[in-house]
Amino acid sequence: MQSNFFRLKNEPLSESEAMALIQDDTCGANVLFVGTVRNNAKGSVVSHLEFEAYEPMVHRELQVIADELRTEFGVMHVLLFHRLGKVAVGEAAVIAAVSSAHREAAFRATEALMTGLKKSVPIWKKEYTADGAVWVTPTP
Amino acid sequence: MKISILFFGVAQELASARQMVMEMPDDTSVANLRHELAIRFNGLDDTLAYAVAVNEKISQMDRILNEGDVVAILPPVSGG
Repeated sequence: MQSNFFRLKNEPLSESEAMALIQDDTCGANVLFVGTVRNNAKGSVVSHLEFEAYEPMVHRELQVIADELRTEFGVMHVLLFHRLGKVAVGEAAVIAAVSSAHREAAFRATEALMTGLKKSVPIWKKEYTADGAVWVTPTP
Repeated sequence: MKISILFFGVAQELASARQMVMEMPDDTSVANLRHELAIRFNGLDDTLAYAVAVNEKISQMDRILNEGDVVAILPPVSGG
């Protein structure tokens, strides 16, 4: 039975929890991507980030992406944890994880999950630097 | 008619609000609303390339709004 695990959280994300959720005895490949907050952006020193989301639409968009991953790569479980609110440098802002029978599908699907997240899931990032705070505009 | 508007990301700063209720004429379309927002709020215009969701679904320009609709202003996303 394939499952999706989508969570938006104000508290630190747990890699071990993510791993436990996607692990499946039919799968030999488990890929976890952890995106952490960098201390720099475009030459400025970043102190922290802040995220906000349009939560009902986040779940709907992630469901669409997960369906596409199963069609394209035949993967088992799909997981996306994302932080909301203030996130400090070094902390995980996002965990994307996929399990599948073999590694190629899991790697490719995890990459596609992150690409989909950055393209269509309604979450926004504000960067706090010494120069002030600015909402990030995605680079094409 | 009254419609509720939610502002996200930079749109929140441009509108100086997270949400508001706007009075609009009947048969207002998404395109009409975008035009009105551009007049009211400096920078909240097509240069921002924002999407509009009506009742949590991405909507096209010709979508006609109804009393009580919840309209979300969604700038280009930047999660991850």
